[in-house]
Amino acid sequence: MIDIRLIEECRNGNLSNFRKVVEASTPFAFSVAFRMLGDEDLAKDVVQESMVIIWKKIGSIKSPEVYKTWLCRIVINKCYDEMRRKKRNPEYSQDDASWSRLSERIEDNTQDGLKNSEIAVIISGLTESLSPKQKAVFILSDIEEMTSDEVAGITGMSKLTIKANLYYARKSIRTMLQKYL
Amino acid sequence: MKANEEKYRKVMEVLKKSEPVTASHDEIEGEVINRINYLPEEHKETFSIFSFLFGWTEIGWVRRSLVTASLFLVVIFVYQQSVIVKQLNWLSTQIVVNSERPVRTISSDFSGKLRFLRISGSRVPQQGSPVSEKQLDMLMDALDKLQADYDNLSKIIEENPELKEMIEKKLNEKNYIKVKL
Repeated sequence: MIDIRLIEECRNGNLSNFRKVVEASTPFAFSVAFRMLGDEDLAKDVVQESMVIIWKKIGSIKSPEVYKTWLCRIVINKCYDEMRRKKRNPEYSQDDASWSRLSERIEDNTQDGLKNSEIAVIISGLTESLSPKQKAVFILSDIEEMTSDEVAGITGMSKLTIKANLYYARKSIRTMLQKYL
Repeated sequence: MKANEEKYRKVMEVLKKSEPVTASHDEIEGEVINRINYLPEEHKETFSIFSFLFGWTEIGWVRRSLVTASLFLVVIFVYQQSVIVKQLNWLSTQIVVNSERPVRTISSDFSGKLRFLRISGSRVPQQGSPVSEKQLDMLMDALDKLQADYDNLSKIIEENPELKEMIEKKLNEKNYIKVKL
């Protein structure tokens, strides 16, 4: 995914290859931000702001190996900010077509993925009763397939808290699945 | 229950496969690079001025020396304060002489002690006193009476020139030295 040598160079002050770091980091950062926020424009803003922060502070990371965790932590924190802002002006609309498409995908078992708009509707529908932290734990653990250590490093929660939040999130999502599917 | 688990697993599979994509990766990168290019002017300038002025504090041995020096100064400060407090405590135990009556020349060790005891009053510690309090009072009364008699006698002599002349003559004859109390 991201070349460790590039990160090491940037960490040592040689930022001439930072464009390559941005290029390599954007898909992952966008994926996390979009799954968290369900809005393409907001996700792009979050990615941009996160990359600027990374450019400023890349010299302060302990080792290039922790770059992915660090990037994800910045993105998640930016998403929390956006979610707090969004909470004041909620824009939420459920679309039956997206759920039908999901049902089709489950039955067909095809390799085709869903569109961005469908992903947004489904994730926001499934996680509507979750807190931002529970949503983050669910997305990072069950969708991004990160280990509990990685999730702990990103969210700053203990493993026990992560386990509890994930249990609650899964339970809530199963209930939502019964409602929508 | 099992069907529910299966449904959850399948939905997660679909969501994992459905990676959110953006057609505007280039737009995000361009925006990030623009922001970065806009930022460095002040960032770099500030950095260079700071590094010029305070860069030397980053040198290891300078840092250690400064820490040592500051610790040394703290120790000296604490020592000085303790010495000052000790001196103040010592001074507060000393006698304060506050008398309107002028202190006359101490002619002998014994009379000096007496005068000292008289003007110092109760501040003199009991164990330092050579006589009892009652004896001291008697002595003081006798001294006061003697002083008053001497003053009266001097006045009588001054008022009578013949008597004064006679006394001076007698004193000169016996080589006595006139002592003024």
